[in-house]
Amino acid sequence: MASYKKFVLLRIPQVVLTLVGLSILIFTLVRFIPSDPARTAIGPGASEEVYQEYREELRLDEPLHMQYIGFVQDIFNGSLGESTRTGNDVAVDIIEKLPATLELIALGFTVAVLLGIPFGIVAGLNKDRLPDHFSRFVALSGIAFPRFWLAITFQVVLVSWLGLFPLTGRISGAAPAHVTGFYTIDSLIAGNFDKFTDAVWHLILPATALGFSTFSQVTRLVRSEMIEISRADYIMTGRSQGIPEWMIAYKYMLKNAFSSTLTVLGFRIGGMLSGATFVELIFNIDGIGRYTLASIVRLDYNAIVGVVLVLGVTYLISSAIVDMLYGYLDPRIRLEA
Amino acid sequence: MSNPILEINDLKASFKTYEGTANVLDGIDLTIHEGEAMALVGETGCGKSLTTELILDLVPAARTSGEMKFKDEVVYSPSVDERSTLRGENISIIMQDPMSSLNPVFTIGEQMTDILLFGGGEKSPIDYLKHKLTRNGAERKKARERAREVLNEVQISSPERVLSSYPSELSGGMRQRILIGMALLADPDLLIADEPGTALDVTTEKKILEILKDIVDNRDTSVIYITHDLGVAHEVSDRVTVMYAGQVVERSPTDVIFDTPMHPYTRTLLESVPSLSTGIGEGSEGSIPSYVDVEAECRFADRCEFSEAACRGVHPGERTLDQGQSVACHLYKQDTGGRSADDTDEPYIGPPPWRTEQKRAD
Repeated sequence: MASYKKFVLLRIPQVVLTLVGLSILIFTLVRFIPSDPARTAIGPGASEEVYQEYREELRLDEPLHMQYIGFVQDIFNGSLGESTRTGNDVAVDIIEKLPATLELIALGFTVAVLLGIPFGIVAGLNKDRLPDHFSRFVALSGIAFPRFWLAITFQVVLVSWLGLFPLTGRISGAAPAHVTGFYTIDSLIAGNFDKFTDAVWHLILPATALGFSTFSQVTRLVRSEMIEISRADYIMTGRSQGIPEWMIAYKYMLKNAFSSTLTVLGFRIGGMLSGATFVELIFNIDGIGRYTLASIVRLDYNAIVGVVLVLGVTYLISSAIVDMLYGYLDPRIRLEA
Repeated sequence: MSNPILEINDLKASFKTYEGTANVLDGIDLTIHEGEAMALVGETGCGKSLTTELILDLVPAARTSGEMKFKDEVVYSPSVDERSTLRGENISIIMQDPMSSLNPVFTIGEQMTDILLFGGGEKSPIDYLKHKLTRNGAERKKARERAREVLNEVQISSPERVLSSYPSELSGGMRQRILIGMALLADPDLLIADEPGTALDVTTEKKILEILKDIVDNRDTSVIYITHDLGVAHEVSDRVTVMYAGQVVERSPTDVIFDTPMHPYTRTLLESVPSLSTGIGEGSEGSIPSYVDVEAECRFADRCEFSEAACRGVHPGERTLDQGQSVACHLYKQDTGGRSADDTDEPYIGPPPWRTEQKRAD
């Protein structure tokens, strides 16, 4: 396992370097938007004096590289700069908004993976038979229907017609005492089990709308990988030595099939974070997706940079985790390191 | 002669393809006796590997018919199919390509102990979980010990290191030895070696064949060597069966076939063996015909320089000759041991030209 530890440790400097590159890129790109954030923030009626003062406060009067250095210094002080829209520090805003979205993603992603993998296996093992056709139907609809359409359909059918779920929001009544910002976790910490079930109940529809396409992709990928691998020579070797069929499928094939599925999963987490906006809008959840949208509309430089950084960090962390799992699942990859 | 261990009668196999039904195996008969080494010879695509894979029911896409007996017990017939129970303990295959025949994501040790602990098909997933949870040390240790034994047997000098390696860390020759070792784990009565060593360089191939032959001699197992190389067949086998395009065309004791090859196809095979004295062999024109919509005929007819009308219309039944040879070819008459020779309806073209020449030379 020494080689595996080395494999994992080698990833860390890579992640840091990529983050530095990413921050420079976003920081610069945002400043190329042909518009004036200071004027947008204080409004057209403000005097020239106030305007200049505000520009200085935002460091917009300094050259670009000095702005960046100041930005990095702020980060080490735990700040992402002031949001021109909310007046708060962007870091504070993000910490406040992120839990709602993460809760959605966590549930949507977990369910997508936990359902997608067995669906894919069963479909792959029964190629062109009934379970395969069924899973193809479900998966294709997941890919074809956009998230917002799913979300609205859920609201119409499951909420309005059948009354099974709450329509919008994260919880009925008051939120549990703030500890982490995750209502599910906070309500458990407060020992209020009713609030916990209520929070989960509120999560189900938006999480499903958000995770359905991931579920579809996982299903299709696992299916095609299983079919591909069932033709491999080593599968015939196992069979010819009398290894039972269940072991061939769930041990010898699955471990091979899953390593390529993992790659896609890493991207999906980041994809879900940026795709959460519609779902949050429709279900009236005050998360990072809505925050991003509002920041872009109001040209809130610091907020945009902050949010994109969070997005980048999520991508990086999830792909680093995928890399590590990948190396764990497939010895050929960690041996190359 | 000793008892037959495996008998195959009239084995046919076809596949559905987009062009139509491909009738690949056209009534194969094979008998392997206890302790016998048989070579199944023929060019690529003639159905050698398919025949042996069908013995263990490893080709689900094939539609098969025929009958198989293992140690006098019917394991395959229109009403019985117990071929999968033969896997491992009774019959074991050494797969063709050492580079792709080992699972890349498990260590050699894990793959080998899995065969020992869970091979044979009676263990359920519950057993597996129990084994994993209780970390059944004693059983695992025993299995690992046995794996080390067979690795020693295939002359791997550091078995412990190999057991904890992944396939990608090992050379082709090493992997080929491991595949042989795997096939030996459950002490099979019949070993099938599919082109052993062919994918490797010549020196390694030779070494692999030596190891394999030693093991077979020591253990006294029956063995089928699949090969396209008559030279290899000469080294390792007692008896040769030549296949062409899904038909058996000739059977012969190994020491006889090199002096008196009967079937025209066997002769072209022999001529194409390169040798030091005569340089690169002749090679043979053409290739195996399409298996889709083949008629009842000699499938070699199109490539055969002696073929006549009869060859295309009528399937040549197998004709027994002296010296223990038999051949499916219209150039020969059934050897009836001196009794009246003309009671067969099968077409007969006439003695093959090389035989008459030989006689004249005598």
